[in-house]
Amino acid sequence: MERTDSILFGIAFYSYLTSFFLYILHIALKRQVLGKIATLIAAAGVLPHTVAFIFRWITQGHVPLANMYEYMGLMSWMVIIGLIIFIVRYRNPRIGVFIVPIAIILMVTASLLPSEVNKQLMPALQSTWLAIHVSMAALGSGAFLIAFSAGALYLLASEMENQPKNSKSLSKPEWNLFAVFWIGTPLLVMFILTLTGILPESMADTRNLHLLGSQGHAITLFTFGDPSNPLHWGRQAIGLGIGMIFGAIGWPITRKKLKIPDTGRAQRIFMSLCLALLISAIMVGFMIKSGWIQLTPRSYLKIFEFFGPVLFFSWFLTPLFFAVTNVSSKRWLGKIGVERSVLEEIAYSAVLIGYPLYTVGALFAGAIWAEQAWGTWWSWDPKEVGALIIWLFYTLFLHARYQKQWKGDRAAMLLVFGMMMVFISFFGNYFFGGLHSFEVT
Amino acid sequence: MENKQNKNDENQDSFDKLWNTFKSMRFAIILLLVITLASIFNLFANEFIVQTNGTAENARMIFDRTYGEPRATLLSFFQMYAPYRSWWYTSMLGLLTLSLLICVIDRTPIVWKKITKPHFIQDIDNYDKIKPHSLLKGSKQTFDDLIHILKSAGYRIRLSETDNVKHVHASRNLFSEFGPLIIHVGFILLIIGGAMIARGELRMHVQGLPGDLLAPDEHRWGFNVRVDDFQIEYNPLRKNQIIRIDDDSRIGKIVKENGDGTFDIEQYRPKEDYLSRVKAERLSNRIDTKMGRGRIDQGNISDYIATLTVIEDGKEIMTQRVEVNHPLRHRGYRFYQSSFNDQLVDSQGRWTTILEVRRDKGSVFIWAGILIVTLGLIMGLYFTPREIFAKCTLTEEQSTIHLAGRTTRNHSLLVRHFDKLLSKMEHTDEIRSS
Repeated sequence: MERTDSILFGIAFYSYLTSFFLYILHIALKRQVLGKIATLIAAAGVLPHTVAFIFRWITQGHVPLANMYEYMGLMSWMVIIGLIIFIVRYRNPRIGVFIVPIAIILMVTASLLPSEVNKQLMPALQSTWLAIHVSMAALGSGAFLIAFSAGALYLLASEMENQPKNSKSLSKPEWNLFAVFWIGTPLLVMFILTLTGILPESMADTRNLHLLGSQGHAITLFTFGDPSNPLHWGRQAIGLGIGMIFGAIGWPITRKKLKIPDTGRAQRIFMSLCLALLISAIMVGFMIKSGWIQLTPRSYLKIFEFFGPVLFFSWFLTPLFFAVTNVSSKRWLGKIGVERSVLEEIAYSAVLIGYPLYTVGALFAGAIWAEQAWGTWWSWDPKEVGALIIWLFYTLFLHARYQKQWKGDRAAMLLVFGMMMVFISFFGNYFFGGLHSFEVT
Repeated sequence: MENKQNKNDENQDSFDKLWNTFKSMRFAIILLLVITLASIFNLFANEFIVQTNGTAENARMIFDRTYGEPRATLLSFFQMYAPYRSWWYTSMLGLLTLSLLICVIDRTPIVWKKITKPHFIQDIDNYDKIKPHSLLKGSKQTFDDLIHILKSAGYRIRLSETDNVKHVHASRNLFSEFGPLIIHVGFILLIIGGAMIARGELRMHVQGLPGDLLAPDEHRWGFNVRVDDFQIEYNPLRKNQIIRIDDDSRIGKIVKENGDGTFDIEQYRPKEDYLSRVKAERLSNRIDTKMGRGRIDQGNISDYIATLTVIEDGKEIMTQRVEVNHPLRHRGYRFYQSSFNDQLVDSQGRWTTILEVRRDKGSVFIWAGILIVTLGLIMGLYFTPREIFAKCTLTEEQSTIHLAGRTTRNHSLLVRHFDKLLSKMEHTDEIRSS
């Protein structure tokens, strides 16, 4: 009986997936009916999604917002609700094609997280403010994700407009730049760090604590054959991090300096980097969660153990995503048929919807609750600072939009960064600890 | 004399410059960006820099020991032992407050004027510069139709009439323009409240067994608090639960409930590696245990409940259960159930409760700030202001109407709305002519 909610969750997931394919068909075949059906199916999926939430609420006896699975579930719910709002508002079902995938990714991610029904809450969590604080933060973050999606598409579309027709995918000088900035620099930095013996050498150890479940040595890839040998992620992290900063910034700048013809790919490199970082962060989050990578408790170098693998993966993934967008995007992007001004409006409206929810939910309700539970409104706990950073960032976005030079591409880039902050704060529990890490301890 | 005048002018000049800098959006954006980056920096710095107890002397000692002379001086100078309370971080917040304040002072009259005073667009050329805009030609009735349609669409109408020319300023949700200012005021209050709490907060721990009085100085408090009872409630044991056995020398995980109050437990012996990384050795013997023998881990406590009675001038005023999330509030003092001491036990075996007492003067500002910002957010972000301008020129039998619409956001929705208004106009025209 307890798993009824996950069956309902599954039904919702498959209806969103179906609607996503129908949106693609709608755009490809230019049939209005398909767009309507897709929207109806997505809207119908909200019902089992909501019922799953209520069902979980009843079985657990408390609002189902106490772990990351439940949080992500509500975030995806918000994304679909937002989609329906925007489709009704703009009468353009085509926007579903880039918003529904966000909900799908969230739900896939959620389904990988532990979803056991938890009937017992620790004392600090037993409060009405749990429902208010977490639900509003989740809804706000969901709206920010819609903004990100529209902003990202805006960036890609803006590049499309600037790009000369029939440009080749990558010119030879660009390949050289890629080799220098993306492959050469990180390896060089790593090499120098290893030679000079500059630490930090932080350990991303394979799991050796049998207590918490299965023991997997599947991480041999990263420990070079010997699972008991701790790997020095610190060096890799610094090397790759510096390399990637050079890559993302140095690449376009050098191209300009050397007068290599501009094919307008700076934004695409940036986008690929962000996407790669995001997906790597999620992957590493799971690896930590499932115990493939074990963080050293209370070590101040713990962050390297998270970012080391994240940078490592994104180092591979960025060129991959870049190549994929390079080959494919040009044709289908043009066909989506949502004007850039509308994309910008959707992004802005989504922030306008999400910002009050996030401010009141994540910051204010959290502060009021903290005052009740711990006696202090604000304690500079890492998760609190994370929420503050996200909030400052979207505040910045709202102010920046009033400035002419910040409209358009720059504002869209802010949204992409903002979404990364949302995720860093979300997965921050895994490496920052603090008052909000209820689950991990 | 003249010299002094010059100097005054100069002062005035530099003051104006400073004022203009502070009120500019550019400054606010840069400041927000810098504070964001500083917060990110502090977030990481807190993880990397060695832990201290937060006081300057202690930090200096530990920094010296860990990092050596030059780096320790630098870290101490930037107060990196408490980065969020450091002079550079707080002064940035101070600048932000100043910028908020100047923005409010500067913008309030402008926004007030914008909302209260109607704005009429006189020049016909200006209509063409605004999107969407339109030109209508009709009978004398057309103007009244327009007013009627705008009114029924929920617009507030303001008119200015001269001989043959009528100006219209129709507006909806214009109050929304006040939203941002209200939000700014609220945040000023929040920062003031936060600063007041950070500077002058009373914070102490008191402990007592059931029956004990808690006030160390009854005169200063003006009342006393008696502990009546202290209980800890546990969740029932369940599968996969971790318990500590025999003074933490072993850890057990419940693998099966036997139904008769006993459990099958897998035991592990924790072996301290370094710091606190725990390597557990599996013993894997099945033992039966009752709750008494193993110590239940913190996570299985469902609640700590202290029953407190407030006593004023020898009279019992109120009795309240104080548990996590439910503090006792009396005369500005707040009592939080914070911890317990299982070494001090009374005759009935009840433990000592440890309560945290807090009192501050800034909380009122925080509450006010939260309410005001919330109000401002709803006003400013959930209502979209829309304005429609019209200029109607009447000739003998005809009227020419220039129309234009303006909004600060969701422009494409305004365009659609504008078209809808126009088609309504045509519709009424058709009805009349038929």
